[in-house]
Amino acid sequence: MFRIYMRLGLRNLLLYPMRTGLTVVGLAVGIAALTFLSAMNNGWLQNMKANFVLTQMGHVQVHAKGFEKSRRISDYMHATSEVDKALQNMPHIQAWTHRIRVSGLASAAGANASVLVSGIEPENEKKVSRLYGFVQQGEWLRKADKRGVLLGDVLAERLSVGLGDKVVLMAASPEGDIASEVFRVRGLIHSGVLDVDNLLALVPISMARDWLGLGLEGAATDVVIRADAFTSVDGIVKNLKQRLDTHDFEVLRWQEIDPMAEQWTMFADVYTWIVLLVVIIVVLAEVLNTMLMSMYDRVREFGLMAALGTGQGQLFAMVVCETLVLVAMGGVLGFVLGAAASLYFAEYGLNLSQYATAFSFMYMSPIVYPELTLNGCARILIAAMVGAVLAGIYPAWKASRLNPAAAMREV
Amino acid sequence: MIFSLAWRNVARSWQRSLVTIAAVATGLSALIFLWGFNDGVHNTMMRNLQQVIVGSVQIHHADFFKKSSLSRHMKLTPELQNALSKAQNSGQVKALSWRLETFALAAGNDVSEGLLLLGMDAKSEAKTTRIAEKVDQGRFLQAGDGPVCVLGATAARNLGVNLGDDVIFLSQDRFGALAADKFKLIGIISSGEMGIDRGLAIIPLNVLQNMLEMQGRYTRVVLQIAPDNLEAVTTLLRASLNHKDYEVLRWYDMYPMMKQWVDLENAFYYIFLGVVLLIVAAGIMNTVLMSMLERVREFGVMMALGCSRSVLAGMVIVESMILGALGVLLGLLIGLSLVAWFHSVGIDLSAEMDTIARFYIDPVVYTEIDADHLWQTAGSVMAAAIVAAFVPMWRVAKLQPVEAIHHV
Repeated sequence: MFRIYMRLGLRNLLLYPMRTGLTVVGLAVGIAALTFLSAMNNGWLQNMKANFVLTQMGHVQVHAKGFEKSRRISDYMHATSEVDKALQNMPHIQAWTHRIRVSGLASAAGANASVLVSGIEPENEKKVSRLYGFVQQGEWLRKADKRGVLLGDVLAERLSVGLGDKVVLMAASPEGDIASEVFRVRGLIHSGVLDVDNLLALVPISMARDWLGLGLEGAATDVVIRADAFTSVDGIVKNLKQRLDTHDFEVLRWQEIDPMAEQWTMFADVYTWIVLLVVIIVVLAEVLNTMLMSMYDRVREFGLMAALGTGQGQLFAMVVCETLVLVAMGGVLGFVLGAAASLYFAEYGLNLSQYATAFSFMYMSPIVYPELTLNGCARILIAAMVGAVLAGIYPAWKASRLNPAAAMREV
Repeated sequence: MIFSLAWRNVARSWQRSLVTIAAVATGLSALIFLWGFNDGVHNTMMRNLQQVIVGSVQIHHADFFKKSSLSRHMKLTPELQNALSKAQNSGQVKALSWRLETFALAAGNDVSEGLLLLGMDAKSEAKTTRIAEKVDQGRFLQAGDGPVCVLGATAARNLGVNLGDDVIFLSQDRFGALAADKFKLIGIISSGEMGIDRGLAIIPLNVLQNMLEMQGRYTRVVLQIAPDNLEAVTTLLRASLNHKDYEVLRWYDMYPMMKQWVDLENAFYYIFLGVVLLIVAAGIMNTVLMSMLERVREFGVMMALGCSRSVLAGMVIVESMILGALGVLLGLLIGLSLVAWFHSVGIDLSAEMDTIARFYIDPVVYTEIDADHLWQTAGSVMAAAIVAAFVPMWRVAKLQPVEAIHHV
């Protein structure tokens, strides 16, 4: 039975190739645009997440209990050996490193600025974050060079210092004394991320320990862990929480350290939903338009069918099926177009460099590689199909309510 | 005559016309609503950025923004005085305030933290920015305050200080000598913006001037200006200030990412505008084409009676214009009512998202629409209606009277 409706529907649509063609084009353009938008959105959100985590933060961090909230250097881990032992041989871990993080003041020849000092292990750091790749001038820290410092490029400009110049860093030790130390600028970092370029000063962790009086080998504020994939993060956190004493340590996911990427993802999602909704409404208004017109056109035909014994339900089903066939044609064409565009740009990238500052602020690269996901396509498909049925109901209902005698007399 | 003919054709098949008008109106009102949402989010973001602390335009000593140091300060020179009064006399400046700032190490209970130490004049600041509203514990500065300070919530927490506690600020004065003073914490700011909450300490302007040996000296003039006057005031200020001594920066010269972000999203909306236009145009074309095909015999008769092809073609175009215009009017009505309604009620997205304080985005969106976006959209829909009539018109112009009369 259903097949007959479908065939009837298809035949009716093919009877008016121009009208059907125009509607299908409208539908296809709408669906294609939505598919592309959704792929694009996924592409840059993935990109943002990866950059966000890999620039500096890592997927998971372990601190002494309470450090994330207090940010006090006095809440440091006296020895990280316990954490290191827990991490040893744990699956899904790519690398980890130790840092000492403290905020302070940098001054050089008359200018001063606030800084975020990060004491790092030069070799391990390379494996965990991308900071190494962001060195723009000069060179990466060397372990032997205890007084070397790398500065964010904006910070360096603010202090009016260049390679080889002296910078004094001041920060509080765990006991609360202000400790200051002279460093020499070995390199400048440019990442495009404000918090890095404007604030960051990298020094060797061994120097940071001596300077701030953390003394012991193995003292650190953060253990920064890079997972092999985002999907492994939850497993790693669970594992660590089992192996570590949670009275002494806190284990934090990247979302908990800075919720910005997560918030932005939610916001982008809401935005996409609203655009999706509006475009679907417009497309369906168009389908409704076509179906209503084709119904007015065929009033006599419907009257004749009814007179020949076609039931109201059958007429109703026929028109709804016609709508479904129409939307399916447009939908398939739209998906093909949208997917083709997404795949093309997934290969070659879409260059939006003119908005580079906005992108780098959002931790995104200005070359966008769309990513087509099943989830995104399904969302559009379901919205279009539900809408198609809704748009078909009214014309179908009108067609099934026609009075055969009056309808046949209609010119 | 063409118009009355066209109007009669539109009215004759009123059901079909109504359906088309409704489709155009849906398209347009949907676009207007989208713009309303978009502009609502963007304008709130930009307004908040300007009003909370940054201001619309700032005047500094040349190069101060990039290389801030106390040596790049300003005094109230006749040149500056003259420029400012010109700007104020133009009536386009809502308010202005003077600030002095430097970096300092703040020491609280056992801990210290690098902060931006900002001297503000309580009275003029209250008229210029809304920073005072963001104080959620204690109070903001008042005229006549002595050595007191207001801290960002995160900074206060990091320093381990509460209202009434003493905070010591350590910095260098203009001559490079160490300057330190004790301040009583009287207020704590929670703005949600990380830069403010984490890195800011505000003290009275005159106190900071004395501490740094900077009497009568300032680092920034902050002006609050309505968006429409922004460019004019900037031009005026730039013209009357020597660019070797001063820099005049708009908010988006200082913080370009937000403006770029807005531009980027607008670019996306233009793409969707194009998509919806295409759909709407296809719909109008459908209607006009069908009504034309239905009337091929009628057209044939008219031509046989001496009606020229251009009159017929004109009629088809005017029909489409009538449909388009009615659709646009209805669409404007519905779209603007939607925008006005959600402007007063707001769209509450707090179930779906949090406040994104870093971008000054609120989870309740109040729609508003920029005039140029509105007219561009309405204009393009109308244009699409006219373009859509070209194919049917071209077909009419090709009709042969004899064949047309025989057409079934």
